[in-house]
Amino acid sequence: MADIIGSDAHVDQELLGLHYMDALDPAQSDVIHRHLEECSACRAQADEVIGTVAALALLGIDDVVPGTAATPPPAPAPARGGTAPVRPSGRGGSTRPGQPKGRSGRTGKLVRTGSLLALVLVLAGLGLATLVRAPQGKPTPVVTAAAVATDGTTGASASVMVSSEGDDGVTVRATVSGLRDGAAYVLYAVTSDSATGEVSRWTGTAAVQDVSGYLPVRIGDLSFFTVSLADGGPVVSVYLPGVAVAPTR
Amino acid sequence: MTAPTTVTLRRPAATVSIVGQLSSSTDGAVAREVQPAARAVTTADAEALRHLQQVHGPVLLSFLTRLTKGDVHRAEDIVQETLLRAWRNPDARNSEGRWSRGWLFTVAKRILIDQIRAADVRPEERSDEHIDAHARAEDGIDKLVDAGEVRAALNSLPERLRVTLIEIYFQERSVSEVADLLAVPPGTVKSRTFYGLKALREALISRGFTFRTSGPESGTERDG
Repeated sequence: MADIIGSDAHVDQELLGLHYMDALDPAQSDVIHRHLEECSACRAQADEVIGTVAALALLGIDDVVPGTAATPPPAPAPARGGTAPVRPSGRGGSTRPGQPKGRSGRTGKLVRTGSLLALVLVLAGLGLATLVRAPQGKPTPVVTAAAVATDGTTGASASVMVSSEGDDGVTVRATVSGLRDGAAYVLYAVTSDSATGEVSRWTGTAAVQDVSGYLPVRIGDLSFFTVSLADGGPVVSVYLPGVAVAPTR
Repeated sequence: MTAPTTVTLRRPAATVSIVGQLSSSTDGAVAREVQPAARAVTTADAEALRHLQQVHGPVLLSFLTRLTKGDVHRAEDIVQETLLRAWRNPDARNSEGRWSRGWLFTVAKRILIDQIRAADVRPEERSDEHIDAHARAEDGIDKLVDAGEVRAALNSLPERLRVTLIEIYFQERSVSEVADLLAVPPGTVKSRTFYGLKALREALISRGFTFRTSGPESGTERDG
């Protein structure tokens, strides 16, 4: 990655635009991102680039490429019109197979060995603190964590996003699907010392549902969330692996 | 887009408390047993999402802050919601595993429009600013996204810079693809992108387009 950080120990400025336009290899972008977290000089440069790229985002592709249909579909859909070549892998492409669904084998194994009521199949956590961090010196940083899980047995899935502003408590927003129509559900939050709090209670439907609630706990103390039948066991659990990278001051 | 059923239950802090151990069927053992395997399964996906967040997150935030006329908190909320929707829509990724930029920004814009419309049916949340924003939404997305100056600025760039920006950003091509397409070395694509953005910024400023500077309190971005 010597090309990215120059001899002056700063990011090659010519790469910043490509970074924010998603034209670099993920590994390169990662190096840039990490450097920006530590280097205010480069961050100032980056802020300018971000502003300019964001201005460009005000235009649609049909604004700039005559005859292009309004391509990006709002609903889940293939990435782009099929004829345009996708990016060649270039550097490090072999690590990006783009395999969204290659997990069924492990899933089956988990289900067999565990025979647990709740199985977490998909798990991802991201500390959004960096993203959400104000450009400079905003007084109350919003700390956020998110995770997604799908249960192989019940087919239920939940994505949970937790936001915290200060130490008072957290707002929890969850999007759940695959629940039984008419059944009563509860969303519990569990802290790392196994204390449990009820976030929300609702009646399931076949549709995607959003539930939310507030809990007077610190975001860093949260461990996972469980959607449970009100009169039965859990249907899906969502873990927050990367919580608490919050800058606490 | 789905229209999720909303079951919102925001409890006042005083009535919610940590209520002791969860029932025996789901104690910490579940977490300990399952978690490592689950982590391993999703490494690639999580990395794709992290890349998305690193690359598009800041631009989305800036973009939405402009559209919300400087409401950073609201912009942050929409960024988060956009990332969640991206996560739930892996089909919007290309063969390399990246989410389409055009898709992301369209989703973000729709979320904002939906919020503005929803605020209209909750009068207690309506402020003067929202009324203003709503009126703009009613006029259509084109009014909310006042892109005329940007289009003019982009069109004012030298052809070689303009084409490079369009290929990289709007056609979402890689440096090497654009290099092949324009029959120039990749290094030239890199520097044209750099100078193209620089020239675009200057062209925008000369047209009275204002950029948020360092502080979050730069007020109204520009007159629409």
